[in-house]
Amino acid sequence: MKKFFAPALTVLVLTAQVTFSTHAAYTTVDMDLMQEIEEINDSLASNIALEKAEASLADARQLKELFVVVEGHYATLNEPNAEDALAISRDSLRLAGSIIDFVTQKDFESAANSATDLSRACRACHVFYRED
Amino acid sequence: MTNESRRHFLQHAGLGLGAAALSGFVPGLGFINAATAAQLIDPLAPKEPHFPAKVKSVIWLHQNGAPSTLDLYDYKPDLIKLAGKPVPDSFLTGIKTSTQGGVNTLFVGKRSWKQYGESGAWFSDLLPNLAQHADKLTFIKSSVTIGATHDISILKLNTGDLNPGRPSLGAWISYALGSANPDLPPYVVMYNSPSEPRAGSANWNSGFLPAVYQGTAFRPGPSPIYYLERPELRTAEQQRKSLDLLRRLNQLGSERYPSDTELKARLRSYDLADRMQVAAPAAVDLSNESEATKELYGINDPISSSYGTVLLRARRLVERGVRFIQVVSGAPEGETDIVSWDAHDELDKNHGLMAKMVDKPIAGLLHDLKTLGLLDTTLVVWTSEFGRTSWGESGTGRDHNPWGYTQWLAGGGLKAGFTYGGTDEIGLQVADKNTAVDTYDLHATVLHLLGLNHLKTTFIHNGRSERPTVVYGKVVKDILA
Repeated sequence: MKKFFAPALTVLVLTAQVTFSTHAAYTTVDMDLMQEIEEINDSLASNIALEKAEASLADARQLKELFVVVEGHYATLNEPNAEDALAISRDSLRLAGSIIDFVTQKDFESAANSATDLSRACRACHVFYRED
Repeated sequence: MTNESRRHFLQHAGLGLGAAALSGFVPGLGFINAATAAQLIDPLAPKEPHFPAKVKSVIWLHQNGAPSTLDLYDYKPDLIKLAGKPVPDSFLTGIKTSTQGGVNTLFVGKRSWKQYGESGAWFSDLLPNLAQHADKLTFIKSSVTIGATHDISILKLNTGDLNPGRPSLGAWISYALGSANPDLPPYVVMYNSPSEPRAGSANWNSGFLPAVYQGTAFRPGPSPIYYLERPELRTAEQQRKSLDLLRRLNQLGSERYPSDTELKARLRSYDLADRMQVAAPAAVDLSNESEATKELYGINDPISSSYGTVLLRARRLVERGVRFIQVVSGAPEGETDIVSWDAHDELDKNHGLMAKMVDKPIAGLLHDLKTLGLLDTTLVVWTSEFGRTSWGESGTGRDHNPWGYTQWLAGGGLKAGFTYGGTDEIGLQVADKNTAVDTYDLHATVLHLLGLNHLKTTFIHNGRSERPTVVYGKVVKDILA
């Protein structure tokens, strides 16, 4: 049992550190963060369509963590349109939470609608802040 | 089972595979339901929509080059009042401009404006015929998109992406609904220009969907389908035998390479071509249409003749059950100076010609569909890759405007004589961003009218579920009857 436990614990700790590090590395809103959000969002839309509950929840939870970073960024930013971006990021957080609730209830139709709203929210913010 | 006996089985089961599939059992796949079996044999077999459809066919009128709806549908008295003055800063908030030479002063052309019908819709003097159908139209005056260049925005208009590779809307519809007429393609593309429209066949491609769902281009002129007619030297019997041999060889190839959708599409295309030899000429032959009908579509006028011919063909294709007819505007025959709506300069001259090219034909199409009782089951869409700016360019034109422009729909399931959304006082940006209708939303709405839920119209590609509206799209419910 000991032989198994120690390596398993090591793996667990390392995985947690990597997971934590992946999101802890995003402390500011930059292209890497936005691309990560976009990729997870694409994955979320697919997993919801395929009614893969676990995968959808994992995606939605990751997005929620990343939107916390986005919200924090715009909350402290002193620039024109920052209020709009802050409102959108808070809306995105709310939508990510709704998706988690809907998927947990296995209501994939509502989850799909919320995921679409979330994508639209991202798009709306890009009007103000995306650098082409 | 040995290799020898397995090869023997496959070779001799070539035509039997279809029979096995019909019975519900497919070697290697097990039992499948009747719908899937039918699709294995015929990917264009008709399929039921998700809910009852309001329309059966779509005529997608892409106005290539992007007309200025500020000179067609969007009467802006404040723009007229401020003409010649710089754009007030408040109107430029939230947009990134890229006009060569910078944002110029506000521009108006030599237009006069009137309201028409009970709806009181505004039309400029450029569309006197279409204006008579004001109460048939459902305007979306808060259209938006992204991209400031034609090729990428046209791709987005048709496929939902700025890059090639995604299926076009027509391909998704073919995939989701199949064909209503086994003798004609379910998805046809027509244009009245001597060469393929800008950005080409990527705009009617099937993308990652099986190739069988791509659009079939009917070219302008008296023979829209190249090499369709049987050469005189070959008898019908000889052709039949050649095609039967070709079919057998392709089927054997298809069994060897079951995932080769290109081969399946080719197999089907030869079968379809065989049937189209009879069906297609009849569909596009206008010789039996009355002179009155040709006059209605402006075919007797050299400026509107080519576009009118295309639209009359489109009506005939609707009558024959073609699901999606993508019409791309070109230019009047023989015209070389003005080739599209893209009026960066000399807008009055450009739109004077282009509007004359489309006005009577589109009005004729609406009238004809209504008279034949087809308008309630057909959806006509006026669409463009973007609009044009309120500020001038080159002194006499307008630049591209993705931030607010007008499109319209007409036909079944819509609130006719209705306007949704609007732009600001100078017609530059959508006034209320909550009413913005992007290309995905237009696609979702078109699909909805065809009885399809865009969220449930899916295809697995590289392990991921894809849909026509990418990750966006919202049905514009306010325009639905």
